[in-house]
Amino acid sequence: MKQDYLVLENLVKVFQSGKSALRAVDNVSVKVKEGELVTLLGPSGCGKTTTLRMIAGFEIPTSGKIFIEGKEVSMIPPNQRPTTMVFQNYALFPHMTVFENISYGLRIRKESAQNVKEKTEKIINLVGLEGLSKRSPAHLSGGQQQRVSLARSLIMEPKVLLLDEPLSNLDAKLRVSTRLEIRKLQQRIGITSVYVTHDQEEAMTLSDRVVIMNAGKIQQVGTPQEIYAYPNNYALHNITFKEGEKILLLVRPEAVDLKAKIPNSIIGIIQQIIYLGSHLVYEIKVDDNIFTVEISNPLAQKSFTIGEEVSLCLKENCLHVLPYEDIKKQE
Amino acid sequence: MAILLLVPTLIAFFVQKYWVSRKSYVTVTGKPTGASIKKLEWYIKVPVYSFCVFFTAVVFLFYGMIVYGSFQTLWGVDATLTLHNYIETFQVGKDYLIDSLTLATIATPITGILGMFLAFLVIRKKFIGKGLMEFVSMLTFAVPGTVVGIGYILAFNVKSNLFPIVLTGTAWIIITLLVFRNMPVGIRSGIAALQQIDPSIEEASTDLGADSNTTFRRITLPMIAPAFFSGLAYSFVKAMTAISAVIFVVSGKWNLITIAVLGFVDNAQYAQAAAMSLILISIVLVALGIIQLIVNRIGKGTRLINVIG
Ligand SMILES: Nc1ncnc2c1ncn2[C@@H]1O[C@H](COP(=O)(O)OP(=O)(O)O)[C@@H](O)[C@H]1O
Ligand SMILES: [Mg+2]
Repeated sequence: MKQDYLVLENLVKVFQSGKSALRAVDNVSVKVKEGELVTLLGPSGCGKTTTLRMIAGFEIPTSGKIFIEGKEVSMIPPNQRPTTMVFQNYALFPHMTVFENISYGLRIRKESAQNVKEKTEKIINLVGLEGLSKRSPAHLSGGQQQRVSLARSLIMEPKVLLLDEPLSNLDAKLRVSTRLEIRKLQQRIGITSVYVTHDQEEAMTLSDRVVIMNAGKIQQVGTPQEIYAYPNNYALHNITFKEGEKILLLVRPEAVDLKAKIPNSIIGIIQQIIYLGSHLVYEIKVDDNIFTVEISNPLAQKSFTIGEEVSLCLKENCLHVLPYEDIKKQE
Repeated sequence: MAILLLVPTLIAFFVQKYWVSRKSYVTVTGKPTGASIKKLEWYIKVPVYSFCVFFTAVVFLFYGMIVYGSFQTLWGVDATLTLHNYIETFQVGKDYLIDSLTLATIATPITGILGMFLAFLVIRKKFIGKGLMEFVSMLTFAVPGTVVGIGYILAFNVKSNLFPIVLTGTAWIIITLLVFRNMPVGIRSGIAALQQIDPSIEEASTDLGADSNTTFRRITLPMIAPAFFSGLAYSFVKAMTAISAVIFVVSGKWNLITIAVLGFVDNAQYAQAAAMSLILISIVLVALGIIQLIVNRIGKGTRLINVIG
């Protein structure tokens, strides 16, 4: 496995509009190993798409370099780069069938008709679109359109696959199953991928490593486990709090136990219950805020009903204390 | 008599409105999902429907009158049915008919292609003076036809540095007039079509290895084809039925069917005028039918949208 398969070196992108300049991507450096899936995670507008578009070649970096397999590609136009992209809104060709959409790149590359047919059929089976090859994209469900878009990119056998919030147009249930499928497929093919999302859970479940971005800058890089346990390494060390200073208590959804109402505790009303097989998700209203609480192994625990008042009890070793101001600034 | 000329336009307008009303506008985002049409409340539906039915009835009445009148021996005096009007109209008006068809057939594709090209420049390219170009191209549309016509005469009647040849009296002055007068709608429909197409669809094509020429040919063109043919249909109808601006630039050599209708009316030959109008209407309808067929082939069932505004 090559260590530095895809390298982003001090990437900067400045958008000039009139006299004002926006540093959409600010000195981003990332190294992606061969076969690795790295996710860019961050709030909307933090520069994720712009970074991805620079890798694809749609934006030229203001400064900085991009290397694939040690070769600089920063100046190669997008149609000659060994990357393909799954667009946020799929960007399928509406006047072509599923088969024509998926085989488009091969046909542009002028591969033999035999080759085109074989490869396209193979990938149609791989992503589970059997029997739909003659359909028009307009007659597909969101999930199926997403697969066409993925297949259309995969068939090119790119060196790097780029995915820009590929699940954001699907409903919640489909999102969970599809992200698992994408991850399995990615691992099976072993394709080096850069995945963009603003959904933390999505990033945590399907990445080898996560790059957290904010306002064009990298905040933190790590495996999902590292990021999950220490949301912001620098914020956790060497902090002393003055008395009366506002702090932020970071509580994970599974770091809460629900108990029948006890006085002098955090009390909330259950708004919504979602069964997710192995665990149960409660949405609980405390004052004016809705909190999500995850209960694993729900059968072994007392269950509650919608509208019931419950106490939220925090598990001591799962808490993080952050300076309030610091977090506010990041948002 | 101008009303007579309006009839084909009006009827096509209503037919088209009916088509469009049954069809949802689908924005091409590359993520096509079925758009749903809101159900209307009955108190909106009933008056609107009755109004439409009434109006359509009036239009059909007009039509019936023209059809009936065109077969009468002497409109309003002798109602004996005869084919005589058609024979006479055809003998007198054959040249007008051929001229009109020729000029419209030359002007229409020029209008369509130029309009689409300008729309493409306006939407997808960045250059200096873009706003000005868009504005100027819309100008001939906003100015009344008579003003445009007189302007053309003044501009092209004599040799000048700008136009070293005299255009007046040639077919080219009519064609240029038709082109520039109808192009704004072509541009507008092209702009509307391009604006509805998510640029990432074209990017996806580039991403999969196509250069910009190939992308334009295989992705952009097929997607804006329905709008292109709508523009064509519009400019053909307009070219065939044009009167206000064109009346100033016609000549003995090149004449138009609409002018012939006016001529019949001047001579109080109403039945012949009606017959001529009917011929004109038939030609326009046949042309619209042909273009619709092409659009069906290409756009897979897309209706002509904004054909006749
Ligand atoms: N073509 C562009 N011209 C000007 N500003 C842009 C352009 N593309 C993106 N931006 C700006 O750059 C910032 C980052 O955008 P983007 O990379 O799309 O964010 P994200 O994908 O993380 O939501 C945003 O403030 C956005 O408005
Ligand atoms: Mg984005």
